[in-house]
Amino acid sequence: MSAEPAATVRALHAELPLLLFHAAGAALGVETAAVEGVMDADLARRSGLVCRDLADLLGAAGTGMPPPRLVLVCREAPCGIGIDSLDAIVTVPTTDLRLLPELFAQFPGARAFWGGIVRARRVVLLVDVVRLLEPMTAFGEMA
Amino acid sequence: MEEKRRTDLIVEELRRLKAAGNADLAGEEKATYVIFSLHDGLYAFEGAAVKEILLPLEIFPIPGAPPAVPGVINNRGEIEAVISLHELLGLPARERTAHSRIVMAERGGLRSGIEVDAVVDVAQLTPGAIKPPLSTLGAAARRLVVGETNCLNNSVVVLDVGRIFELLSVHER
Repeated sequence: MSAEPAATVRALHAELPLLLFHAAGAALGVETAAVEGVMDADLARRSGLVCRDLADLLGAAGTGMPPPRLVLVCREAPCGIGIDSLDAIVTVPTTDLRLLPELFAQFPGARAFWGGIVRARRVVLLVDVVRLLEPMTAFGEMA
Repeated sequence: MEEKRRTDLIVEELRRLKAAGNADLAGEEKATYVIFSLHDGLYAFEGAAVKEILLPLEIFPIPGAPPAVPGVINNRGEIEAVISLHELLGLPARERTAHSRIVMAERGGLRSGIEVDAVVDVAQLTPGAIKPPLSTLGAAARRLVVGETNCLNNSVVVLDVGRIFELLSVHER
């Protein structure tokens, strides 16, 4: 019997902890590993944390949505991302992750989304925080 | 020998013309078209591009996606995009009804749901029956149109699924 490709087996059996939240009128999620913590938006502002509204970052601003009430403090960037509400912290098997439709790969605005999950029949889109903040870091906005 | 009557000659000629017409039709392969309604008009997709027709499902918005792509659906556990033809064709938005459907279409390696007001019929048409589009169509619609035909005693605008996907890709680059 041949040896099992251990890395592949581990990857298939892996689980992914996700922080689920609402922002810009959508149900979204990020890997918990990408988030340092969650703060009240007023507190974040008072503490001088640079914050960006997720709706702005995705090019979805100006749709009459209320200002974000919470801030996700990112682990890999010295900034916060404004969101509306926290929903849950869940751990999902990687086999439950779904690819987004090919059509979306062609929209630059949707490049920060890397996949999705279906939870209680609802679609939750997964956001890559680093890719979401790429234009900011690339053009030195954080400096 | 009895001389042929004028009426016999006419009947013979009619038979000849009919046989020739049938031969022409037999030589032209028919294709299936899915006919649907949108606003006040009838439209069609080539059946080969249509994979399934879904009852209305909840659409989950994607922030930052173009207005012609209102979001994604959960299609039996798979996440699929949905395109608004109203938006692409410049038609006024319409409330969803019990007749609304999502046509799952596939072309050129891309797959997406397309919202329609109702699926009306599935018809067999010869490509010859599809005529060039009328100039009365708007510029937005003309880019997506293969042609027009008559079906169910109405004019039906035949749309190209591939061009719809292409337009969305090009538009957003």
